[in-house]
Amino acid sequence: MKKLLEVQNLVKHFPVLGGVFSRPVGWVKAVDDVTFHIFEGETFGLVGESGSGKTTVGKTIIRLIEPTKGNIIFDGKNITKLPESKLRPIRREMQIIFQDPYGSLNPRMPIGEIIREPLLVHGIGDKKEQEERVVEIMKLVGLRPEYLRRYPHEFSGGQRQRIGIARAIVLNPKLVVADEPVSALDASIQAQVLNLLLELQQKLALTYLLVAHNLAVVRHISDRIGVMYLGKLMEVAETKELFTHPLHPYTQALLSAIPVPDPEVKKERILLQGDIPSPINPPSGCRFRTRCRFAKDICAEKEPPLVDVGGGHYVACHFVKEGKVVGYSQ
Amino acid sequence: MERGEVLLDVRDLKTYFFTDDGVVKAVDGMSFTIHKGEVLGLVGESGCGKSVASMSIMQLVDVPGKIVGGEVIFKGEDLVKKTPEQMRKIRGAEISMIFQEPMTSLNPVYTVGDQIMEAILVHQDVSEEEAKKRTIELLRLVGIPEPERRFNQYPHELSGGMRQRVMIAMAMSCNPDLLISDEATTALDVTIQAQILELMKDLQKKTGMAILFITHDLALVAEMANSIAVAYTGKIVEYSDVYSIFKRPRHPYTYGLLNSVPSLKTEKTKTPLPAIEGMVPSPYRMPNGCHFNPRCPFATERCRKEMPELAEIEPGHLVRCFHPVSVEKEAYA
Amino acid sequence: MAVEVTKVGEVAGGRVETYWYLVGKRLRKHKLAMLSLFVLILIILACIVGPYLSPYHMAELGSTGEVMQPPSHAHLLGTDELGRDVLTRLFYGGRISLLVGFSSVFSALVVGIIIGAYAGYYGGILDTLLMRFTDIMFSIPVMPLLIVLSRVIPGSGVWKIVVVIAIFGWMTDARIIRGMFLSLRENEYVEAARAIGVSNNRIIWRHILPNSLAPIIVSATLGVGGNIIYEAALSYLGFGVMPPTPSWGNMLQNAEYAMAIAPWLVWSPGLAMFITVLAFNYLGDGLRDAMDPRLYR
Repeated sequence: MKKLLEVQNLVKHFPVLGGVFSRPVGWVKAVDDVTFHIFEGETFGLVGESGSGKTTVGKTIIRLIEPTKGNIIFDGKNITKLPESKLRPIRREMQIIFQDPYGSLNPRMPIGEIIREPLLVHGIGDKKEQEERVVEIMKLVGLRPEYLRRYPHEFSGGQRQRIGIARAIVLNPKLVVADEPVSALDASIQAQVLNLLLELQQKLALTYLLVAHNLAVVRHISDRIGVMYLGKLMEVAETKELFTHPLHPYTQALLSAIPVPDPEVKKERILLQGDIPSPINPPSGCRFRTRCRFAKDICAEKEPPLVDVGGGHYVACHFVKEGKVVGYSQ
Repeated sequence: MERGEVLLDVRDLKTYFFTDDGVVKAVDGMSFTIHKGEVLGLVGESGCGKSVASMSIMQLVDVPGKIVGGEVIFKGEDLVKKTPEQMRKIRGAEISMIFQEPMTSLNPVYTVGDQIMEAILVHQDVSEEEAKKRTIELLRLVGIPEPERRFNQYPHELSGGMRQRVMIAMAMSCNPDLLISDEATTALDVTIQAQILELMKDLQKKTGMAILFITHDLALVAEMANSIAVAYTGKIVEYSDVYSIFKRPRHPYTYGLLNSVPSLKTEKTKTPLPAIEGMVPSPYRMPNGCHFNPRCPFATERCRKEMPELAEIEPGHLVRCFHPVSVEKEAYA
Repeated sequence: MAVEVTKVGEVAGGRVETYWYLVGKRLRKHKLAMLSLFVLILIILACIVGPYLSPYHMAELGSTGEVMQPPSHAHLLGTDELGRDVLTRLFYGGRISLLVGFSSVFSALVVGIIIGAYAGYYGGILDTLLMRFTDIMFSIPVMPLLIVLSRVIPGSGVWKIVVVIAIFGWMTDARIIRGMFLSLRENEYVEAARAIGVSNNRIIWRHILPNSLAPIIVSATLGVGGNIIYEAALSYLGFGVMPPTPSWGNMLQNAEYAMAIAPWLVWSPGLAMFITVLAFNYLGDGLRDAMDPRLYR
C-alpha cells in the first residue's frame, strides 16, 4: 500500500515567553519526536488526552503550524521547509476540518462564499463553474443549495459542521485532517456526521487523519490508531488489534477508563494515579512513568523507543517484547 | 432494588424563558422522583432542559426565566414556595451542586481552603479552627494528596481534575442529602473522568446521599445511575430503571440514541451508524403534537397532532409515546 | 445516504439574516437611537435641500430695515446683522459643519484602519514601529497647530480643518482596530483561511476587517459629533471656517455680542449643533449595543 503521508521525527516546541523583554523562559514540548505514516485511502486515528499533542500534530503536518524539527513527506514530496509559494498548490491536496462549528466559519461570509473561497483562491474555474461546484458539494454533504446565501449563524451545529466539511473537500484533496470533527456536536448528530465522513471517504477516495479523544468514535471509523501521551506516540496498531491486545500500560488504562453504555458490564478499572504532567516539564525517560503501575528505575533513565513488535503493532515501552507483556483482556 | 423513601419529588415542573424573540419553554412539564441514596440519571442533548431543571430545583432561575408551574417537593416541602432566605439555608447544606467548569465555579482570588471553609461556616455553627480541620479532612476524603499544602493554593494552581475534586469537597462539606452533578465530568480527560466517577461512587456509598446525575453521555449513566429519565425538548420522554432503559428502550428517541452512539461494543465498525434523522427543533418553532415526530420513523398522523402523556406501559417503566418500540422493530437498521 | 437531503438543512426564518439585518433588528428596539436617526436624516435632508427651497441666498444682504429682525413670517428664524436670512444660512452652515464632521472622520478611519490592521495582524517589529509612530502623533498638540496653520495657509478654512483633523484624528481608531485584529486573528476561521491558502491581504481585508467594524462604526458616529463641535470651537476662536462662508461655529461667534438684543442669532446655530451632536451620540450608543459581538455567533 502506498504511503500518502510520512511523518519523521516531528518536533514542535512552543515558547513560553516571560520577563520584561518577552524572552522564551521555557518550552512547551507539545510534539516531541513523533514518527508514523498513513496509507492512501485509510483512516488513521490519533488519540490522546489533553497535552498529548495530537491536535498539534494534525495542524503541523499541513503546515498550519510550523514544525520545529523533523520531516513531513506528503505524496512523496518533502514539504517541511517549502516556502509558501511552492506550498500553496500542495495545500489543495491537504485540507482540514475543525472542531468548533461556531468559530471555524467567518460569521460575515455567506456559506456559499465560504465554500467557494478555496476555488477562488486557487483560481479554479470561472465564476459560473465555481458556483456549480459549490452547489454540487453542498448537495453531497446534505445541505440544501437554496441556502447558499445564508450566514453561518442561521444554521445549527451539525449543519455548520457540514459546511466546514464542504469547505474542506471542495478542492478534492487527497488528505483531510479531521480535528475532533464531532466532539462539539450533540450525540444524535454525531452519528450523522460520522456517517457523512465515511460516505465521503468512499465516494471521493479520501485519506483521513482523525484527531479525537473519544475512543469509541475513533474505533468506529479508523483503520489504524496511534495513541499519544505528552507529545510522544505510545502505541500504534490496527484498530481491532489495539482494542483486543493493547500492549502499552497507558493504552490499557485509557481503554479501561472509557465508560460503556451497558449497565451489566462491571468495569474492572485500571485507575491512574495523579494528573497528567505539564508538557513544559515532562518526566525524564518514559513520559508515562509517573502514572504507570509497572514503572521501574530504567523508565526514568532511558526513554523507550517505538518498536515494531510484529504485524505493524508498535509500542514504546521497556517491558514489551514480541507482543508479550502485561496482558489485558476486555 | 429496595428504594428508600422519596427525597425529591419534581411534579410537572414548568420553567419558561420570556425573551424578545418569543417564549422558550425550556422545561415543559417534567416529573421525576429521587429516593434516598439513589442515583437518578437525567439524560438529554442540548435544548432538552436538563440544566434548567437543575437550576429550577435549586431556585436559581433568573430573568428572563421563571418557574411558571409545578412543584419541587424536597423532604416534604415545596421549594418553589420558599423564600430566598430559606433557600440559602438549603443550598450547600441539604442540596449541593457541582458544575461542568470548575474554573469558573471557583473564585480565582481566594484559596481553595478558604472557599471550602466558607461553605462550612455559612451553614454550620463551628469555630474557624474546627472548620479548617474539617476542610483538610474533606480534601483528603476527595483524594487530594498533601491536603494541608493544597489548602493554601489558588484554583489556577490546580489541574482540572483537582479543581473538580475541590468542587466536590465543597459540595460535600455539609453532608448534603442530595448532590446535583451537572455535566461535572464532561470537560475532563477520560482517565481523570474515571477517577472522579469512582470518587463519586465511593462517596455515595459512604454517605448514603442521593445524586441527580445530569449528562448527555449515555455511557456514564449506565455506570452511575440506578434510574434514568430521558429528556427531550423540555419533557421527560422515558423513565425507568437503568436496566430497562438499556435493555428495553421503548421510546423511539431513546432507542435511536442508543443505537447511534458508537461504543466499544459496536460490532461492525467502519459502517454507517443508524443515525436519527433531522435535528433538535428550535425552541421558537416547536412542531405540533409530539415534539419528536419530525425525526421519528414511526410517526403517525396522531403523533403530528397530539402530544402523548407520560404513561406506565410496564411496571416501573414510563414512556411518552403512542406507539412505543418493542425490541422486534428494526427500523433503524 | 442515511439522511435525506431535504430533511437536513432546514433553516429557521424566511429571510437571509445578514449582519446588517440583525443589527437593524436590534437597533429598532432602541427608541432613542431610532428617534435620533430620524432626526439626523431630517437635518441632513434639510441642509441639502433647504437652500434650494429657500427664497433667499445665504449671502444676500438685506436692506437696512431688514437688519437684526426677530423671527417673522418672512424670515422664519429672523435676520442677522447684515440682513441675511438666518434659516438659509443655517442650512448652508449645516452643510459645512456636517461635511467637516463626516469627511474628517472618514479620512481618519481610512488611515487608522490601514495602520491598525497591519500592526495588529503582523505584530512584531511592524507593530512596534507603527504603534510608536501612533504614540508620537498622539503627543502632538492639535489646537495650536491648527491655529498656526489657519493663519499661514490662505483659504476659507473648510478643507484646512478637514485635512488637519484627518492627519491628527486617526490614532484612536488605529488603536481600536489593532486591538480587534490582535484578538480576531486567533479565531479559527482565520486558521481555516490559512489552511486553504488564502493570502494575508485577503485575510486582513475580507476576513478580519468585516468582523472588526463594530467599534469603528460606533467611534465614527460619535466622532462626527465630536468634530462638529471641534469645528465650532475653532470657528468660535476665529480659526476655522472664514466668513462669508457660514458654519454653525462662526455663526455662533458672530452672534455672541448680540446675545441680549438678538438672541435668535445665538439660539439657532446653538440649538442646531446641540441637537445634531446629541443625536449622533444617542445613535452611537444605540449602535454600540446593537453591534455587541457577543450576540452574534
